[in-house]
Amino acid sequence: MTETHELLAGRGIGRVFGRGKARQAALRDVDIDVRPGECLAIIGGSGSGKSTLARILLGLDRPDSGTVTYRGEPVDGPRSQGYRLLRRESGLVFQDPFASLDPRWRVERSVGEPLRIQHHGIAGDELRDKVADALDLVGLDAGEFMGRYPADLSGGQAQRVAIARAVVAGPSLIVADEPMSAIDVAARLRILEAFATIRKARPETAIVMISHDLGVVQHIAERIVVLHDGSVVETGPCDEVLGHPKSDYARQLVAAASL
Amino acid sequence: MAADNGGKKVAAPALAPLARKAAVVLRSIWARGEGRFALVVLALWLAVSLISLVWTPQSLWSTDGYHVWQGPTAAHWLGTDGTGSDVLSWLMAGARTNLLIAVLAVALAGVLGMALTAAMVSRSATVSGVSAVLVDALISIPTVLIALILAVPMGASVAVIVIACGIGYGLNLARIARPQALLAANSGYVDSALANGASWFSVLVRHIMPNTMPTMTVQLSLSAGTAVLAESGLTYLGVGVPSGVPSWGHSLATSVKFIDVYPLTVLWPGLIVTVVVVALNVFGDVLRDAVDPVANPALREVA
Repeated sequence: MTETHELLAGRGIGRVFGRGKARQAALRDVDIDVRPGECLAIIGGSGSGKSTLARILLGLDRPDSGTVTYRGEPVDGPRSQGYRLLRRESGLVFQDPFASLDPRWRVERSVGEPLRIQHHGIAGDELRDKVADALDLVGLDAGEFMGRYPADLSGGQAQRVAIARAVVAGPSLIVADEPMSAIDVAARLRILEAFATIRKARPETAIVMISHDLGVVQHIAERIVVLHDGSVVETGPCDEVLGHPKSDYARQLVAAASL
Repeated sequence: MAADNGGKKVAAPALAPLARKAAVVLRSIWARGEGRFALVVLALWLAVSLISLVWTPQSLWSTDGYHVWQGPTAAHWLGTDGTGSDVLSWLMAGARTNLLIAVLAVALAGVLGMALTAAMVSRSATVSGVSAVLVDALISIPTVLIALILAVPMGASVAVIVIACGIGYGLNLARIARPQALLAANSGYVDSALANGASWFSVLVRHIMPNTMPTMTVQLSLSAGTAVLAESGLTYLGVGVPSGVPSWGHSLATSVKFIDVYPLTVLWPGLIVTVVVVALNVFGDVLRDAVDPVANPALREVA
């Protein structure tokens, strides 16, 4: 296993919440790799630790044990090289699209935010063009949507705006935490399409999709990691996990998959 | 933003949408009955304050021992007080003192309230914890007590009212704005900005504080009304506006002792204070609905 081959790697990650009797292990000795340009799905039920794992991989939360490396550089607190690289090269998508867009900001400003944070000089037409490109990528008409406020968007549209914000700066890694579970079924397809378009247009961008539902990720993920009670119970290519699940838990997930 | 020589050219188109926004806000306020009432009262207050700087019907200092406690006459529209001075002139001049007190108290409360709110949502558990306890402890001290303590070294002055009200209302503001600030601080858009490498300070300025603005608008407007009431109370107690300085509280304090004999003289300042306080209380609500793009669809349509 060559460390440099992985974009993002977690080794022996453990995280414990609470103290004393309330002490509970959210993650136990998790090993995980994200390769450049791949789409990896992390599947697990509520409380399986998948969101905690995502935050730790992004350096937004610290593990109690284990290490995370990004491009071979350690991700260990705000001063570490890996953390800094991640801030520049990653984008986040959340479950609730309305809570993830500032209600007082127009779409254009929200989508352009990562660019303004990372490239201080950027403004005017250059910024506008990049925002328009990102909106185009998620299937939203820039002319129609740029001037809107979140209050004038549907849930699906708002989520696609949030995805546009995650891709606008051309990241190497997008982490989407349950991007479809707060969206109605019809609009989910549009979101899947948006991710598929991003996969095609930006093949170098890795996507980590977190979900409780195998069904929504089966069409887009190449590899699947199944988490159960904080441990990895199964990992492998999408077809393999879907076709021949080895663990009981994965079999239940396959049976319960939607879409 | 390098605006060297083209500064003016850049500013001109930027001003146009701002003016359009202001027009939409004013129209939205005007569209509601209570908004119209508040706007008219506050505009009158401002106008009378400005006029009183250059003109009052009678000089404040012309007294007339032969015509004290008069009812309304052609020369004295609202009558005269116990020294024979013109009541209307004193009330007009009082308008500017009360306006000054309300504006300064609100400004101080706003600055203090925002600083404390920022401290209470700090990512340092020590800073947020200590400031939350501090606000809860200090908020139990009545504004009047703060004023009485301040009056010991400072004497009766406008500054006593402004500082006492500013501190009291600032603490109140912080406590009321805290839940909204926390909600914003823990939101996805703040998480996303931080994940993109934004500093906590920029997130505070761009996301968290603007999202507390609806609460702040209402609360500061209520505070302005309370400051007008506090001026009357503190002046009556002798720690507010010093004697000789016109204010509504002063007009009330000098006439209220004779309310049984000359009720009309008390009626005018009392009526003005009531109307202005009601207008300020209403104004906050209407203003919040008008300036908040979330609540006002018309504002969202301004390009």
